[in-house]
Amino acid sequence: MTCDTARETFSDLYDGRLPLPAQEAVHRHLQACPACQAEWAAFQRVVLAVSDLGGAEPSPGFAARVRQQVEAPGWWERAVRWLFLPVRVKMPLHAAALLVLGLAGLLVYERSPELRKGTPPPRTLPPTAVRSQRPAPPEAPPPVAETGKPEAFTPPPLAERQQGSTTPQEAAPSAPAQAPAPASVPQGSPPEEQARGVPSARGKAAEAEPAGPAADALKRAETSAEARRDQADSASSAGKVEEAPPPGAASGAAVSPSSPAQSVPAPSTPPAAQVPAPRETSRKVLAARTPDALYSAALTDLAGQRYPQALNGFRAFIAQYPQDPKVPYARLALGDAQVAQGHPLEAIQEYDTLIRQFPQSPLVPTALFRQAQARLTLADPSGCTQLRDLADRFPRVPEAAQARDVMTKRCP
Amino acid sequence: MSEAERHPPDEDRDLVARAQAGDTRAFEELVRRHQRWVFTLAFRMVGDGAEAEDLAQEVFLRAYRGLAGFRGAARFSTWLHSIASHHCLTALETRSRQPLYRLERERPGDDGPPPRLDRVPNGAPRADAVLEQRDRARLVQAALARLSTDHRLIVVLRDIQGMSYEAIAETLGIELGTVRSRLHRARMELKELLAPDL
Repeated sequence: MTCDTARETFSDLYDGRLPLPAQEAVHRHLQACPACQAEWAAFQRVVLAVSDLGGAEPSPGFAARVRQQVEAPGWWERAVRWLFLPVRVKMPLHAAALLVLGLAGLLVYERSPELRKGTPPPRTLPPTAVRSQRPAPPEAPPPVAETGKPEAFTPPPLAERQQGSTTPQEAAPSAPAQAPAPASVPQGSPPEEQARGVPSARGKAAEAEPAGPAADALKRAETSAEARRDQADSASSAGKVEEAPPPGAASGAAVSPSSPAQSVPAPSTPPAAQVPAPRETSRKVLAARTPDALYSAALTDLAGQRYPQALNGFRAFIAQYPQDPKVPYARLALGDAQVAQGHPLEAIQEYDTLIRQFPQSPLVPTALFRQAQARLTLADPSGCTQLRDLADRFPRVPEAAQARDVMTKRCP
Repeated sequence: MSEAERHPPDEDRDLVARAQAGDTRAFEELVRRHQRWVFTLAFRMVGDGAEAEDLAQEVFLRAYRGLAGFRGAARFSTWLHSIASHHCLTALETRSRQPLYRLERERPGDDGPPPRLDRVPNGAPRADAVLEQRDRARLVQAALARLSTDHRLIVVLRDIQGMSYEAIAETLGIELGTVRSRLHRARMELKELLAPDL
């Protein structure tokens, strides 16, 4: 019997599920092999230690609490009661209230010519149909924010902002009262964008569906942006699909060349240098209104090896929720995403930020180890020094053992 | 002795029948009988008391809602254990609704790596057996947390809950051979993790 064969039987041997001849064979091997004997002793110790954990009791009153939960009506039951019961009282009341509301709405609509004039075109029209019906704009209509009454063909600055919302560099210059974002802003980090720009407008529109002209313009802007993207997807060749169209071309795709979009100051950043994040990511980031949702979206991108999107997501998360306990994890993930992209220099910086900002975090040894590995990738000898330092400072963590291992292989 | 053996099926059956008829006090009694088993499973799976209690509560609520469909083909305990095991697995997987960036060596909420018995504190061996036992338990729990959920579950069912291979196979709906091989792999993995410290 070989050592491997003997060790494969440990679990069955421990539980007494091995046939007698096999049991005897294993025991004979154990008597002759000190290494397997030691392994067997360790195996028994470990299983015994797990068994020693034993059972645990819930807190007192657990069963009574479960009964209360069982007896409590479900949320739907409560909702039905609240809405409809007793039927003979509530149903007529609801019907009357609906009637009054409907009549009041109709009255207001009939007596407000402005409201009728500002009625948006039917939403059922496809974007291409909307574009084809769009007349050539006679003069540059005033921006939406100023008049509050967009015309049917208005391609307001919001449209530009919507289209440019994939990167902060694009979004910032098109916002009328804001200075262009500095070029050093990392791509995809959307704090300003999320805080004051499109997402907030979109968020409100999505939640409350206001009938105001600004919201209407925003919807149309979304429609035209969608149409432009769809056109680009279907028509352009592989290299061109992801590129952001220049401002003029962008207007041209959905808006006539003399449209008021051109009256908006052109972004100071050259569009050729802008590489917008893919559409699904920007949607995900925009849709993620809670820290957990934002973090989860980024994590999903990281797991799916969509590293640029993951970077965007984690940066947005950190910028918006700097106090969140998951920030150190996000920092580590940023470094890992950079490594995975083959950017060790950037990864070193990300790890460094984590180590500096959260010196007490349990993630520090991990960050140090991965940072050192990134340095070694760059043939930087300080990686070895860092590994040595890591092993000295945190001798008990698994990274210390890994560091020693790497040092023996790669450090002279 | 397993939980089912401690509570004979006929006894559970009466309570189950009453609970099925809407007697919530009978269901409370069923909870009281099986709460230790369910809570132990949840606690060893998630490693956190409060979370385990929530999980155990969800298991019993789920059981209560499914009680009408329980025909008594299996023992109530087997049926409940199956619900609990599958619910724990599902809950651990859906925990990724709020995923933290998981590391190989720790789970969110851990205070840090578990202490090594031979080095705490100041490298001196512990004289206090209680503390040592607590450290050992923490060490083992931390190692359990590093196993995959499937492996963790099978170790908990076998080595902590004391279930037989056959009962595990019935509870999880898997083959006996799968129970054997999965348990062996899980234990060997634990040995690799724990042997240097025990």
